[in-house]
Amino acid sequence: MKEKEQEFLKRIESHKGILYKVSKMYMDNHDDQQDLFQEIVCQLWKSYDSFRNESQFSTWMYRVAVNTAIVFLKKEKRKVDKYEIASENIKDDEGDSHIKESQIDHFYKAVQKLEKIDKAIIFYQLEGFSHKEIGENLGISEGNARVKLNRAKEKLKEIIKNQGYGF
Amino acid sequence: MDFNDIQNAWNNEKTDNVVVPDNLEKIQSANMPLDKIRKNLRTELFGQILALIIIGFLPLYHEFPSKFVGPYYFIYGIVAAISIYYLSKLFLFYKRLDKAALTTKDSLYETYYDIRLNMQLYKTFTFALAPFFMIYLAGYLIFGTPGSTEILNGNFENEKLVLKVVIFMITMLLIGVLTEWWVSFYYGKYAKEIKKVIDELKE
Repeated sequence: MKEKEQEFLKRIESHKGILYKVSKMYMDNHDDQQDLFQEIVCQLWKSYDSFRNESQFSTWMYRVAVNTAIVFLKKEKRKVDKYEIASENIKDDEGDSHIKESQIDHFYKAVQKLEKIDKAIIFYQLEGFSHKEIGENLGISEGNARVKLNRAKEKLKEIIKNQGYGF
Repeated sequence: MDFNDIQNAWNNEKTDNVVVPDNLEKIQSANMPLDKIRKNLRTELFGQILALIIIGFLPLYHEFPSKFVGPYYFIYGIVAAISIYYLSKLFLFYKRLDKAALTTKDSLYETYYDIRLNMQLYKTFTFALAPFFMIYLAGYLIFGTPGSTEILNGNFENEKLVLKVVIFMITMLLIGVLTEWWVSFYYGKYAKEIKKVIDELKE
């Protein structure tokens, strides 16, 4: 294997969690998530030459991953196998890790109902980006990013409530 | 649950068992709008080449007037040249930009305009070929139907002439309408989808 390819795969390996989370935010079933994950890796590899070491690999990767996820097209005629999480399955007396798991599942289920740009904004927020950085990545002003983030959070809150989960 | 809980769950989500492909050659891009368009175009390219080959052999048909073989191949050469020019343009433009690393807004605009450009190029291609198709149709209407060559000597019935003109007009209009529909159905849906996301970004 070529040295460049090896170096690239090593970098992807250490950031695979981010790619996995982007895929889960944008696609609602396992097969589509897998396809999107591979597509992001493919687009990252295709754009790898444009990556300059002056910016952090992860910063560049976030942008390519989100841009790919936004325009990614699902495979047609695939049997949709959406994961369903019934609210009655959530039990308060379960262990802490199980609660966290339920919370993240509910979050992913709710986030599916957001528009594509709202998903990107929520994603950047969860990854610790400031309003300025969110704006820079999306190509919008800091103020617009702030307004959109607040709106996206409100929408998400409503969706989670409507799913029967207390917020 | 509140946003702090979501943040905690997000930070603690286990991703250790995610498998990264070990061979990049195995991964092929197939679900991006431009890849889909390229796939559609590839199928159409085979159709175009096949059609060009078939119409190239038409003068060998035994009833084809020998005095028109020369002009036929002259027109055929122009059709082939136009096809080669446009098809090569349609294929080459995919490689012109690396969009993924731009800001989301720029990336979406680049993709959107690439698709729109592709759609216009495709329409121009069809409209550039339409007159030649009409010449072939005229050839068929004049030489392929019994007694119609008399039209060239000025001997014709008004009704028959009107009928041929109407067929001509309807065919031309159909080419226009079908091209618009075809482009909008196969390529416009991708442009619409991206435009919707661009609109989301507006203040």
